[in-house]
This record gives sequence, structure tokens and C-alpha cells, in this order.
Amino acid sequence: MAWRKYWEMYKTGIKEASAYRLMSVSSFFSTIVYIVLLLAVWTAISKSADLVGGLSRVVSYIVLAQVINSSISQGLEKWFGSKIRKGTIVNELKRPVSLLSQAYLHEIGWQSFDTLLKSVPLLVIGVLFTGLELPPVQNLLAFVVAVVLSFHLMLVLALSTSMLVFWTKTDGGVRFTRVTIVNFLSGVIFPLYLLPESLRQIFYVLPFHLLVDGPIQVFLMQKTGTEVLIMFGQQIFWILVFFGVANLLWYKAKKKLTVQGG
Amino acid sequence: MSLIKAENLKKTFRIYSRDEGIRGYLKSLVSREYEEVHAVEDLNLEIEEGEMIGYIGSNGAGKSTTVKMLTGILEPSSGTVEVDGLDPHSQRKKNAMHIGVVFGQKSQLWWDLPVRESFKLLKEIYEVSDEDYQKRIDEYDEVLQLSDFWDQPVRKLSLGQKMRCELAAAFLHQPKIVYLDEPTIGLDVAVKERIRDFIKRMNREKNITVMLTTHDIGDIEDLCDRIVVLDEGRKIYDGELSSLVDRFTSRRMILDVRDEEGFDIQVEGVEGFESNDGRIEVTFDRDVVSASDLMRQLLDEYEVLDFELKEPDIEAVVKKIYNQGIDGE
Repeated sequence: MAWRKYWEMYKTGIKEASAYRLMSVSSFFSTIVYIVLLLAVWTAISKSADLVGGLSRVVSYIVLAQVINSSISQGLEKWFGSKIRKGTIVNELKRPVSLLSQAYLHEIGWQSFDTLLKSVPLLVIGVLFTGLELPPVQNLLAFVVAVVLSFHLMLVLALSTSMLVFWTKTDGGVRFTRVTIVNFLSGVIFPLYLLPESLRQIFYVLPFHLLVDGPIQVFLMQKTGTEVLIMFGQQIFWILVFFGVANLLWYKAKKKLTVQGG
Repeated sequence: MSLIKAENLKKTFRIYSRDEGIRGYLKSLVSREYEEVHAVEDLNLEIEEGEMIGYIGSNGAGKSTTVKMLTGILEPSSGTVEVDGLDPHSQRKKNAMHIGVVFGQKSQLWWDLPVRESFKLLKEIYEVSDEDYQKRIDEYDEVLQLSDFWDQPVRKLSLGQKMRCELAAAFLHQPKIVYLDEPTIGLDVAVKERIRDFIKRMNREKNITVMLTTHDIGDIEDLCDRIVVLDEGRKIYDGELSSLVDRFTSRRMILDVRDEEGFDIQVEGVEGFESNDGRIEVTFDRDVVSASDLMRQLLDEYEVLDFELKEPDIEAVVKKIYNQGIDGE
């Protein structure tokens, strides 16, 4: 039964992640420190400037951005990088499963573990200590769907950039570039609604706001039902686009693949 | 029909080169020169079902590259490969169901997970039934003694233990053919023996075809009837191990004679002699003169105190081929 192999690969991702649970725990605490720092900065800013919607709206946004980011952030380039450099990518390539599905399932498994260990506690802390208000159940469900889609969007994006590692042979630069662009344009670093109108329009044409800013708006009930559905559609559209890009790049990479030595 | 058939198989890599020093680095940013390396050239190979083939050659001869093309990992630059009727590169996944591979220096097990978990996953990936799985694990355990470390994470295993797992993993789905790329590298004698036993058993009992690349002469002597020798990407020998050895080595006879100074033998078939530490080593062609005829003539002329007949040394043969090529030029 074909689905059983995919299920087992997914579970292997979870098991591997749990072998590194200390890493998850420590990154959970560093996220908390990061949130505290951001809150300090924004509190200072709010003293000298008028923030649209006031400080409390910024606080909710920042906390939610970290909750979402903990669920969707990824290190897929690293996974590929070490395999390409050591040549152990031959092991993935000798198995009767496509390389991209092996990477995909491993990452989903790993990330479900991290979501449980990082995002959920962060959300609870946000509600208890920062005055973040939980929306009604149907909005909460829509939020979960939005984050799941956002997770897949980030995954296919990282899958595309990971393919570049076949050319660059090192993953550091590729990953850093991807993370920086995403953080800047998605809403992880600052709330997009604070941007001046003209800039904001550019940000909203690009797909990156769908990763973090979009789901936040769903959580904060700033989108109507129809708008939420349209956003899901946009997320799915971009997932398909980047999935196509990743496959195209893999097709090219396969042709020039060299695994030398040993 | 042959199980594996390769025709005019070729693989060329581009290697970028740059000049020395900072200047070279800066120059390489703008323009890069490359040279083409022919890792495998015009390889023709046919392997029948149930064979055990030793694939040998010095480092960089193109052995691993061949294996990577046969397994579908690399696309040949030109030529064709067929494995059990499939094109391994374009039908990679389908082909992968029927092959097992061990890359001796690249472990396929999941580093942080217990051995048991790696096998559970491989069982699903290769769609092995619960029943077959249990039967095979028990069977492999008998020879490879996997249960000693079944519950330990892979990272805690010794090299020998890891390799035993790799072997069991490659044969788990009882594929038609198993490629073993240096499976005994760095292992102690006892583990090597166990691994060879296992390979022999799989070949004999399940008729699994095995293609083995190795630098270990023991592996070849113990396992392979047929060997293929590769040198700089070209096949230079394909045939029985024994005839290669015959073709390549003259027999040697070591003599201890009383009058070493006056030793000079003129017998047809003798290729030469040299004296060494008071002993004389005579090399002769067995097809021209037999050892007993030679001995008789020597005993007539000299006072021989002791003698020893040397069997051909496979390791020396291989070394000679690596150094000089098959023609010995």
C-alpha cells in the first residue's frame, strides 16, 4: 500500500525531530526573548509616535507573527546542503520514492513536532500575558487552515531555493537570502499595516504576505468570510507555482548532478 | 536475456580549474576554465542473473560512477543501460524497487534513530509484507547478528555494526540485483568474513545477482568468479579471475643453492632469475616448461638445498595491472 510508506516517512520526521527536542526547547526560549525585545522597542516607539490602532494592536501582531513563524520556518536548504556536500544524497536517489517527496515528508514530520512544542505554548503565553484575544471558534479554525497553507507555501519556496544548492554546493547563503527576504516582506519583522499606502501595495502584490500577515489578519478578524476564502485561493495558487518551480529546478539539477568520490 | 546490459556507456564530468593564489580566485569569478574528465568511457557490460561480479580498478577508475549509472542516480553522457528491461535513469523509481545498494562510505540509515526504526521505514518504502519482513529479519539476524544492537541509535554503532545493518538493509526486499560499493572498507577480519558469508548465502539461496566493487582482494577471491577490471574509465579485462592470474603471472620457484655465484640457467621457458639474500628466485612460464621438468634439470646441474614453489599472488597481479595497465607497457 503506497500511502503507508509516506505515512512512515512522515512519522520518521517526527521521530528525528524528537531526538533533537532540546534544540526545539532552546529555540522556544530564544523566541520568547526576541518577543520581549520587540515589545520593548515598540513600546518606546509608541511613546514618540502615533501608531495606527495603538500599541496593543502591534503587540498582538508581533506575538502572532512569532507563533506562525515557529510553525512555518524551515531548514530544508541545510538538509539538502549536507547531503549534497557529503554525497549521501545517493541514498535518497537509490530509493523508489521521489527525492522531493522524501524531503517534503521529512520536513512536515519534523515541523508538526515543532509546532506542538513551540507555537502552541507561544500562543498560550501570548493569551495569558500580552492581552492577545482568542477569536471565535470558526475564525480560529480558519486561522489554523491559513497557517497550514502558509506552512506548505513556505515549504515549496524552501524546496525551490534548496534546488539551487545543487549549483552553489553550499546552503548557507541561499538559506540566509531566502529567510531575510521572507522575514522582511511577510510581516515577521514589522507589522505590514504600518507601511505607507504606496509601499503596502507593493508588499501585497508579492506572495510573501500570505505567509504571516494573511493568517494574522484572519486571527484578528480583519477579513470577511469571502476575503478569507480568496486568501486561501491565493495561497494555493502560489503553492502550485513554487511547486512547479521546484520541480523544474530539480529536473535541471538532475541533469548536471555529479556525485564524485567514494 | 542479460539482467544488466550496458552499451557504449560514457560519463563525462566537467571539472573547473583555476590558477593559483588570489589572482586565480579573482580571475575565476569572471571566467572559468574547465576540463572534461572521462570518468567512464565506452563501457560494454553484460551481466547474467545469479552472477557475482567483482568490479575492480584503482581509485578514480570509474567504478562508483558506473554503479551510479546502473542504479539510475546519474544520467549517462551517452550510451545505453538496461537493467531487467528498464532504463534506470528515466525509470528510476521503478528500477529502484528491484535493486539494493550499499555505498560503503555513505550510510543510508537514519543517524539519530534506533536501527529498528530505520528498518521499519525501509520495510514500508520497499513494500515488504509483515510476514516476509519478520522472516527475513530473523534469517539475516542469524548471520549478521543484528539483535545485539537492534534498539541502539545508529550513531552509537561501530563501523562493523553499521555495515552489517547496511547489508541487511540492501537485501531486505530481496531485490533481483544488489550493488555493493566497497562493502568491506575499513572492517576487521571477523566482520569481513561474516559479511562475505552473508553475501554468498544470498547469492546461492535466493539467486540474487551481486555486483561488488572493492579494493579487498580477499573479497574477490572469496566471492567472485568473474571480474571486470577498469582503468581510467575503460574496461581492460572481463573474465574469470583464474585466467587473469594465469595470464598475468609467471610461476615462481625459490631455490636455496650451495653455489650461488655460479648459478646460470638456460632452459626454455625460464623467463629470468634474480638472487636475493642468498636465495634465487626463478620465474618461468608454466605452459612451456612444467615445474617438475624444470626441477629435474636444476637438480642435475646444481646442489639444491631447499626449494619452494610460489603460488601466483592475486594481490601482486592487481597491483601490476593498476600500475601498468593490462598490456604491461
